[in-house]
Amino acid sequence: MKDLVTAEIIREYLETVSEEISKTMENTSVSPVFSEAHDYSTGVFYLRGKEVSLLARANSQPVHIYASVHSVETILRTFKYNLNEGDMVLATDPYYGGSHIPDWTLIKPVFYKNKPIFFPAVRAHFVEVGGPVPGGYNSSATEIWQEGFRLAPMKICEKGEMRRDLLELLAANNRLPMVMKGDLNAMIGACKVGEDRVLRMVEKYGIDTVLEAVEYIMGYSERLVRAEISRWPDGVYKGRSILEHDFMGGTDINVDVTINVEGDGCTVDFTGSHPQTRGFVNSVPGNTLSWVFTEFSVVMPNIPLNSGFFRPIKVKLPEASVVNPKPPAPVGNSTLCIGNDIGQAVMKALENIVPEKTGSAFIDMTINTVFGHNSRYGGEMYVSVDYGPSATSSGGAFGTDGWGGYAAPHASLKIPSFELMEVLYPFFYLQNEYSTDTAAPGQWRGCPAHWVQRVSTTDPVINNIQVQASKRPLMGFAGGGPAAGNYVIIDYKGPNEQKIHMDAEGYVQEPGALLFAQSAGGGGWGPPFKRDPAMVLRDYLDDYVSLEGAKRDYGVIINPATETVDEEATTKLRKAHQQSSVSTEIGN
Amino acid sequence: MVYQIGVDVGGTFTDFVVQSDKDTLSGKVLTTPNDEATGILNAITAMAEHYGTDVASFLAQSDVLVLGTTVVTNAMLEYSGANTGMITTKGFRDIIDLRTGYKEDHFDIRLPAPTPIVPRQRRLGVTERINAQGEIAIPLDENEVREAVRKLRKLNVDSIAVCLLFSFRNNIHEKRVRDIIREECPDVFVSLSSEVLPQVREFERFSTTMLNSYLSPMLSVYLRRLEKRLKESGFAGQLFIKLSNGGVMDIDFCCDRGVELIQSGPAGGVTASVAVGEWSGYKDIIAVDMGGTSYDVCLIKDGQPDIGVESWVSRYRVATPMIDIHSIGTGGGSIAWIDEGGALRVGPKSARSTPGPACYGRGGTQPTVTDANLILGFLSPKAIGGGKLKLDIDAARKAIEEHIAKPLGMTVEEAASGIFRISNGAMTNAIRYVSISRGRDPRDFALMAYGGAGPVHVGTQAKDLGVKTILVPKNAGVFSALGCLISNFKIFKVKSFICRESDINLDELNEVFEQLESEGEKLLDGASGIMERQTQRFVDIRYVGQTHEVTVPIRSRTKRVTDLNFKKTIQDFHELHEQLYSFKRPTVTVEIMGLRVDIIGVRDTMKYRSQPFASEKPDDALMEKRRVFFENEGFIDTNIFDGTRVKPGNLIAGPAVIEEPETTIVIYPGQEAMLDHYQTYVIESLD
Repeated sequence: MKDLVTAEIIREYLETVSEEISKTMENTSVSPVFSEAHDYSTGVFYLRGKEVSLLARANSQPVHIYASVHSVETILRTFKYNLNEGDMVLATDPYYGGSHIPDWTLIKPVFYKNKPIFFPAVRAHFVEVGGPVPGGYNSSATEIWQEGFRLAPMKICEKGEMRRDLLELLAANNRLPMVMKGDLNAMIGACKVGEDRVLRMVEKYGIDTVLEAVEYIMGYSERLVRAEISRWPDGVYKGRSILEHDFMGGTDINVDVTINVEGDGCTVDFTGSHPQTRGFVNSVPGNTLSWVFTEFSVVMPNIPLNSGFFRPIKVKLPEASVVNPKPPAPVGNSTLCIGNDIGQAVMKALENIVPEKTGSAFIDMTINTVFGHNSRYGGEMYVSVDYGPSATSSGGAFGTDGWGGYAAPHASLKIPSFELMEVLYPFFYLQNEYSTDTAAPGQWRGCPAHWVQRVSTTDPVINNIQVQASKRPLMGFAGGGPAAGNYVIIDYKGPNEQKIHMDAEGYVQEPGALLFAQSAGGGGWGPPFKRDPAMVLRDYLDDYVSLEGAKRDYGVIINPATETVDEEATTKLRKAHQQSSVSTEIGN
Repeated sequence: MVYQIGVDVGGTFTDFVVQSDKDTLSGKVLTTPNDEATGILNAITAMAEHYGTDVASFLAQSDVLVLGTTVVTNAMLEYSGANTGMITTKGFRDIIDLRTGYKEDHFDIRLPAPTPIVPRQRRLGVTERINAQGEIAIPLDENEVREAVRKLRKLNVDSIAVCLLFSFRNNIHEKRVRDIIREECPDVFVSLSSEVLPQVREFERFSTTMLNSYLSPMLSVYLRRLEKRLKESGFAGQLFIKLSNGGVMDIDFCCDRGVELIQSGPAGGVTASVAVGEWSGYKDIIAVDMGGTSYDVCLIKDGQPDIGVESWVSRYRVATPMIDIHSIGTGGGSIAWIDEGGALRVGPKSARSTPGPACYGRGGTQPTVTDANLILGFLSPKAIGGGKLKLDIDAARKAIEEHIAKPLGMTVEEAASGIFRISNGAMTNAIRYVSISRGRDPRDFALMAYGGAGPVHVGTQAKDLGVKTILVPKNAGVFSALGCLISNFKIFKVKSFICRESDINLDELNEVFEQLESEGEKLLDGASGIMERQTQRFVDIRYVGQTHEVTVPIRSRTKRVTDLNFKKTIQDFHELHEQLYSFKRPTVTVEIMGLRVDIIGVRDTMKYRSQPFASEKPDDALMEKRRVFFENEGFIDTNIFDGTRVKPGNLIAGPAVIEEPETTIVIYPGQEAMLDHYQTYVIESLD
């Protein structure tokens, strides 16, 4: 590239375009999963020869990042590159480049001189996709056909015309056809916005300059990633994370990662990971790779994410394993359930290399799909995800306590307004709050666990509850403690009270019945007994730790009458703790 | 003699504009740090001197003083507001910390939480609950309220925000909490969320209310003191304050509504843009203000600036309607640097005013946009600011050579041009953001540039976006003060009103509109000098399921909203939706989410006197020729004009540079500038 300045201007422009596509989605989609919770992603892709590259993306759920490259590749391959101006292609199937059935990808080829070159794309989690279970999370699925209506790539618009036959086919296979059509409209609108902006760019700079610039843009990210990796000592680093269960009887499903750093590149090898399982937690490569790159981008937070970023990192996925299953293995919950473990195993391996950059960058798992009929709106059916009980996963990091809702890479997911949820659905929330003594201890602690209580009001609410990380909570880093773990209690304080550690499918919550959920924050960072006593006191005053918790978890003695730290007693206790841990180490 | 005074207090200067029976005076004095009032009185002394009188008799003859202030903005920047507490619905005290999950950076797990302005210790839940229908679901436990208030008093709280769920439907509990606070500690300032922002969405409402409690007490102390000092000095007129919504209001209103003043200063510039644009014959304008650290853009359509509700200020959410100013970190002081991947970047780090750009010679060594502009010949190598600020071109060259040119293997001029182009790209994107991204074509607008550095660059933005007309006001240096002086009274009232189109009860809707109007009108009763009142009604509408609304004006001016008016408004919604987002769904149910009323009290304000045209020839103002760099042309000999000698009617063809005391204006090849009747340069170009 001769003109670096123009390349830089084009790079910024493409990022702005991705943001514009994203904003259009946010403002116009009709299901709260997009407009409120932001479970979608947008980007601009590029085709050269047969190679598809991601050029720019907007801030969004990172689980989609790499999977979307895979989807665009598969779409183009399926149509043997035979696309016309005005076409729009939709793909959803995990075994055709998707991640799980609810994630729909729509692309619009943008032509220059009769050749499709750029592809603005939207990938979004549709809340309802047909199949046996509303909301698409069928925890008893043992094969892909039980997870929803499968869509191999197809042209939903052909030469500028919407294909009514296909639209009706989609509608016929959906419980909420109007919502589906509304959201599909929003995706189409967003891709059109992307097309318009890309064409303006080509008009302004000329195609040759633009093509030179996109090569430069990817080379730029690649150089930055290589510069970072070359600072890492060569060697072999291992990480492991274990999923509690696969909802179908399988337990302790391990993900094992070996990162081999050599020079300015590395290999991430999943050999040794669990074979594919019966339950719906198998992760297709697009999803697995998305999680790998999410963790790498967390330890290199300032590098623009495009295909150049991926080049120095090679990933090996053993076949027929839980990170690369063969069809027809079910995959519905892999975006969270095994995904979280893929991320955590990679982060644990990275902890050996750059501990101060690591920490919880996952999304912990309690999910609650809700559906039913709402008599306030004439018995209208609704399907939604109650994101309230699935909030928080922020862990401590070097220099910072965990805070807010989700861990940073997942922070594009919004926690919806509880008031709006009550306006829309027959819900009444009694609590939405942090709890005491539930933050993962650490020199910098995790975010406290989040407690939600919800009552059904006018109508019964049907809940599909799925819980993970109950006994194996999110791990701490660099000596920090683990998180508190997740659980749900149905019929809380009622005659049939039951604590759920795994799942409760189709639990009918009658009007007046109460549901309780604990969703833990992320892990702590650094040894808790090194935490600044002043910060422990602050946490005590803020009711994040109790008097006993301060002593037990942090070795800090607080005088409740004066609300001060008893320095002497604290020093003594911490010294004793240090000596006993030294002697334990020797004993080992 | 009767005087009207506009004063805008900025970080460095306190600017003023005075309108008297016979002339308009503008000027500036230094701002007194941490003591705005002293700077204001110094400004008044300067005004009195100009008119050959003493402060007391000058003030006695002044009937209005309108002030733009930064005390609220600074309190947010420095987190120096009141010691504030919050009383909220039990079980919901962490809404403020959860902030809907929003984080400013999506990959940085080490990003710290925002500075807690109301730590959890001072956020207390009380048993109570109003449900979505506005009914009392759980009665208020008054004993708990009393205990909470006593606990807050022990923590020395000066101010309390009362934030209960669904209070916008029914605020009986919030009002009762206020009564109890008054009984327990009468001196504490109280804001109710149902009064500050009676709208659905608890995070937005709670955050805005909390900031109001945090900011109002110190603002009210400051304004009351200022009022007293002015009165003691002889002022008998009315004091009005500039609001973020572009209007002004009296002291009583402002003392209770600190959160409405967060953008008091920049709002003045936008108001001035509207007026000055109209004098020159333009009602559709994109106003750009480029200072040392930022570039602020605001779109004005048909004389109305965009109003937005999506702001974050110092990492806290403010959802009151305010002039929608999109700001990016590209200013004259923005530092150019090379990142690890070898790319040239500009900003967001700024050299600010100290040490400032390298060429200021105040110890700055980093290359900035201003240094690049100097090397490219846009700025005078001698001095800018009417000769007050000397520039050191060697220091600029050295900074760019060392940090940019050498590492990238370029010449200093190439590097300077690179800095210039990258900063231009960012500015163009910022203008695209307020126009193209929101479904508006920038070619339908004129660009108005002010702020020291804006008019150097604006010609490039015009070219990039296909804009044909640029306006650069001569008095740009006191633009915000001018904006204060000519502002109208403005009250924006909002209220949640949730209902589907098919279930609409127009009687209820009209009742809410009438209530909002009468509340607003009452606030204007105390204000004098209102020529006429204007009311504009709006409905926030969306398709069922969407979570973002489109604010649709009700076009008819009937007293009541009739069935036909309402249907027409729904039709307008579909059209607006298509314009904004490229599609509409006319067969789908729509949902009303809220009602808005803007009440405007039009003040009898000043206008510049029209100046007659002199000859077309600008020869009297021509100073010299200088080598100036233009893209695709390289360095060419360029005419340099002394702005103070340019007369209305003079035509100046590009390439040229006009040096004004407050700014430097670059006329690019193919453009032509003319100073019009109202002291504004109108720069035009062909397609």
